Amino acid sequence: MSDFNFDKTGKKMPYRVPDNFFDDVENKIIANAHSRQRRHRGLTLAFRLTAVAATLAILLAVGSHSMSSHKTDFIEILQAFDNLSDADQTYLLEIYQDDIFMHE
Amino acid sequence: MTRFLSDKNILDTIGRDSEAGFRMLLKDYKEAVYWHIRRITVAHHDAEDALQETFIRVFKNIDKFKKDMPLAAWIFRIATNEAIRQCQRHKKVAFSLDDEAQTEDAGRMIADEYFDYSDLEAVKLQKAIHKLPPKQQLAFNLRYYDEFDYATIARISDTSAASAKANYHAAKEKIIHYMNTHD
Repeated sequence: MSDFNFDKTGKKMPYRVPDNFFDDVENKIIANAHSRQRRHRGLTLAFRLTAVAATLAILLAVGSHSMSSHKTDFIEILQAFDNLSDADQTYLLEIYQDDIFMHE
Repeated sequence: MTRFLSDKNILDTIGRDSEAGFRMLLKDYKEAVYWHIRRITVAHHDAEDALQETFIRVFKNIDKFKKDMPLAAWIFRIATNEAIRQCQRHKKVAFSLDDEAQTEDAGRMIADEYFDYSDLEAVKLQKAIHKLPPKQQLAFNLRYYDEFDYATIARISDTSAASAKANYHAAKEKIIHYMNTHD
């Protein structure tokens, strides 16, 4: 039975990383962050355009006499969407992007 | 953990120029955060994925960072969660802070190509650490390798400073016992 000593072993670990890993990963993270930001903006725009199209379709179908109340509904929807967290916005956008009925 | 820049310096720069500030933050934290994650995930590729997710979350949520804790504690807390998520995604040994059960043997070390088997003492020490219950494992790693004080460890692991200290000392005793009784 040996007498283990932390000072003797030190903080060395048996883990290695690929060459230049820390330089490369920094650039990957920045690129990944930018691409997700662009995707998020694109999805937000797509959601807004889809919401506008859907609302216009409803307004045309229902008739002009109820237009003012639908306008209010639409503004409320956009305001509610803006109040969501980034994660919830992304979740909603991903759900609606795959909804074939919204894109017909 | 060796730091070169102050939190204030980094946060002020992010406020003026987000990319420049974020690059400063990455330069200061990426290595320490990587090694923290790697000690949890063991496999390099899992650690890299968790590292990327950690900093993307930091980047997205930096405006929500409340300055009631050190920036390091906030980042390491996110990193710990991402490392655990990465382990669970690959259905590895569940390293859950809510799970008091002992983690399985660190047999998963064997499969990783970025693993150095030549230093037997270092391999054995990592095996001993992975035998610990998750909270002790986390407290030990954050104190021994990253040299955080108990108050900061408490913020990272969502516990009290007294509990972090108790976990660290219990972990140390168990590691010494393991190292002295295993070949």
